Amino acid sequence: MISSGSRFYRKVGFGLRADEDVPTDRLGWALEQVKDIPSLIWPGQIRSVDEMNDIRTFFLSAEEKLEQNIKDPTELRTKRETLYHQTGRRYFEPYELAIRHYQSVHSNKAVFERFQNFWGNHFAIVDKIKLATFNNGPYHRETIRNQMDKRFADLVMATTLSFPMMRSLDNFLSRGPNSKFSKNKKHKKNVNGLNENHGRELLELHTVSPAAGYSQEDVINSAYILTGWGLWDGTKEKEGKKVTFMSDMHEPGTHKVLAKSYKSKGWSEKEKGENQLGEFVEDLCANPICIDFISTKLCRHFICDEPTKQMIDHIKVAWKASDGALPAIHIAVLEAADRYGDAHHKFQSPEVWLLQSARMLGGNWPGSPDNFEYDFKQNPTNNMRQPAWVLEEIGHSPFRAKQPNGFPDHGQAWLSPEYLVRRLTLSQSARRIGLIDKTRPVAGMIKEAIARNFEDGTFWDELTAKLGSQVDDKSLCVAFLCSKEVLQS
Amino acid sequence: MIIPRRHFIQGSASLMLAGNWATDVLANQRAKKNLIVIMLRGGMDGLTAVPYIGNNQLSDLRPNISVEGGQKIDGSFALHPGLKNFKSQWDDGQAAIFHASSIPYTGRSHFEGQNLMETGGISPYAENTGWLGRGMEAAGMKALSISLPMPLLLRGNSDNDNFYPSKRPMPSADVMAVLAQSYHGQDGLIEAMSKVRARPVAMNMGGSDDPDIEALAKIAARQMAQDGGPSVAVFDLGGFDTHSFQGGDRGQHARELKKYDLAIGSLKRHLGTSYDDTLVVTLTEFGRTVAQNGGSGTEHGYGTALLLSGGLLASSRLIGDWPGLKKSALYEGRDLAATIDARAAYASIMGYVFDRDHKAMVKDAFFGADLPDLTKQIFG
Repeated sequence: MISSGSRFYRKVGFGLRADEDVPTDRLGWALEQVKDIPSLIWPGQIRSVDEMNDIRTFFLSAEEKLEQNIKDPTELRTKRETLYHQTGRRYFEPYELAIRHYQSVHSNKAVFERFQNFWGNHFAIVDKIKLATFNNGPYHRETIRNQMDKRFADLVMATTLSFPMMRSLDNFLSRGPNSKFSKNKKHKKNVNGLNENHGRELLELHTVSPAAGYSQEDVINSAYILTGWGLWDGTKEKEGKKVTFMSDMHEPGTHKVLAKSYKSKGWSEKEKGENQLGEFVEDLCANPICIDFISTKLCRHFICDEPTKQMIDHIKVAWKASDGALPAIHIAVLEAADRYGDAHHKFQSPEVWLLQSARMLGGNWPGSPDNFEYDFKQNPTNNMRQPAWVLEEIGHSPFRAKQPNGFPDHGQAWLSPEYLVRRLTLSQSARRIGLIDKTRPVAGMIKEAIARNFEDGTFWDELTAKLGSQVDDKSLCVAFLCSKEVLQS
Repeated sequence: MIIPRRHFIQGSASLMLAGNWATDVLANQRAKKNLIVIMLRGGMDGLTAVPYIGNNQLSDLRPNISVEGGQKIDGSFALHPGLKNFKSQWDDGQAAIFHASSIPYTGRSHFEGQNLMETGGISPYAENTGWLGRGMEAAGMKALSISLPMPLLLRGNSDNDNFYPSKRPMPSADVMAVLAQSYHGQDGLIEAMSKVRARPVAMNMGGSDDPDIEALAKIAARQMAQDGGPSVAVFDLGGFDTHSFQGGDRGQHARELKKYDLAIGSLKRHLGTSYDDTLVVTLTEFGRTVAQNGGSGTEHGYGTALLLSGGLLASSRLIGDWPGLKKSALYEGRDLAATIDARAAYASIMGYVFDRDHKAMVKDAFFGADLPDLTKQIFG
């Protein structure tokens, strides 16, 4: 079976849906999807970053109060359970995953979602202190998404000064050793107020990478520039939730990183802090090593594990010509995938594989939005929690990075016996959990998916011949979804 | 009291049986020796696990996070109070500590450091295989990793498998056979599928949804205790990167150490008599700064401690060359110095467990680096 389709649709997106025509111009089809920020098609409630942060703060302080005030373990358990229901403790992460997956499976501009997910992973927030539960979903779909028609430097600035990044990389605790705060005799017991965590990862993970050859002294100075940025909301809540510049904590003076000095300039203290960090971030993002590092990472994510110089250079040229404008960078990635990608295969991450499966096979994934209407009075239903469970099962919960470098972009990293077992077993349940249109015969759905999303359907003819005519639907799903041709695109 | 820089090998006297007693003879009689590596990601703080208590230097530098309730093992060092199983094994002559040691990496990046702790090389991202995988390949052994990804540490040996319990049933053997044939040209998939198909059925059944470390250790122990089962197991624990609220007796670092401790307790329990022929060793990318930072945590550092346990040790002991905590003795004035390349310990341990000559082991697993033979210090 020779089809008119192409794996390009899966390489840069989540494939073509069962009701989509094969475009006559595949590159044009893709470019159309990244020029601006598409609106969310999820019909249910969308909560802002700030709203969700309020809920998290409320939850943490209420839970702490319960633990302090209630000594009887049974009573504590009951009260805590009620609090979990009231605050959506078990609801919000799967709810955010549902919004994300609905957009990827059903929208007409799903290529855009691949880029949002890429940046969400590049600026990953580690799974700790309930950030995955309440904050990381909104961080991806608001903090990151809203910057995607701006420049890379704007995205770095927005993520750097976002609540989850400030909180998870500890900068809210960092104090310049010579700041007004540290010089105050009351605070003398602090041996050294500096916290290097964020300053290091801003260099290593978010911008220039270790290839820039920075020293420990550079890391310390990067951390000095970040001092003063912390969390405060003027109340006595358990912890501040608003990212603010507090000049009393800032290390005064000029700080030198990668041989360039950053002065403290501006009228107000806040302006000085903003200017120093702003200038620093602009320089990091314009650094050729940063441009090379991120261009390579984009090619690796979208095209193949070992991108060629041609591919990478194509992104770098667009980056430099546009001063790092994200739409221009995204367009260049799609052009490189179109021009050079057909000769290379990419083994896809579990989440991309899951969403491609659902989109290609007309799946009702993550389920009807009505299923996600929650009354905050009991445990969320199994239907509501399913997106989170399934992602955990296949080993890829996007809001739960174990380390701040996120999930690997190398396809090779997703190839282990156990990862394969998880995809094999999940494929058996594909129809039951709604990855496939339940109203139509499986064999027919697969053939249609192949016609749109593969250059050549011979592999399926061969597989089905070997499986024999008596093969059941479950086995057909496993054979298709775990075929080499679906696992890589 | 300030103890001078000195070489220390201290064992509880009653258990110091002897130097080089006939290990070779014993090795030949034993059917199988086991090596278990527990990776501690994020930078395990050797000074929280095994704090120096000879004077106030450490507690002065760590006003909010010093370990107060340590379990004394001699006049200079204590064990973290969470390391209960380790302490009981120490008392039984089955534990050892390599203090002030690290892989030879001083760049303080987690990701470069973790890459090097697994590859055993000296340039980050330069190798695609791990020192344990290469050592096992040379010794003709097979391993099981208890994790979803296959750790880099074990790559280099195509017999190695990874496993993490799950509840769902497997597809039929026929479908898997057809798929396996269709993977031609994709070596990674062929390899993964052949391991999945070779697994005993029992391994793919009856997992729990959220296994804790004790349950995982039990699974590994059961597999290892079987005839023909793996002789090497690798665990992956995260969460040691405590830049804030590190804690002392309790807190984040304590919780992670406790998980390690539960793992070795469970391994000993479920390996039964096989624990006599087992060595468990930790691996981390770096230690942490001696002084606490802003945030009552610590920063990325250098020297740390390796924790060893298991019946293959002849007696409990502290091994190493203690550099002290004076500012002038610290690496770059901030980190515990590392006075020995941890790779020398790993090479010596592998050599002993795999019955291979140290030199050959260094050549096969560590690119022939200049690593002293520490077999006697560890096992003698």
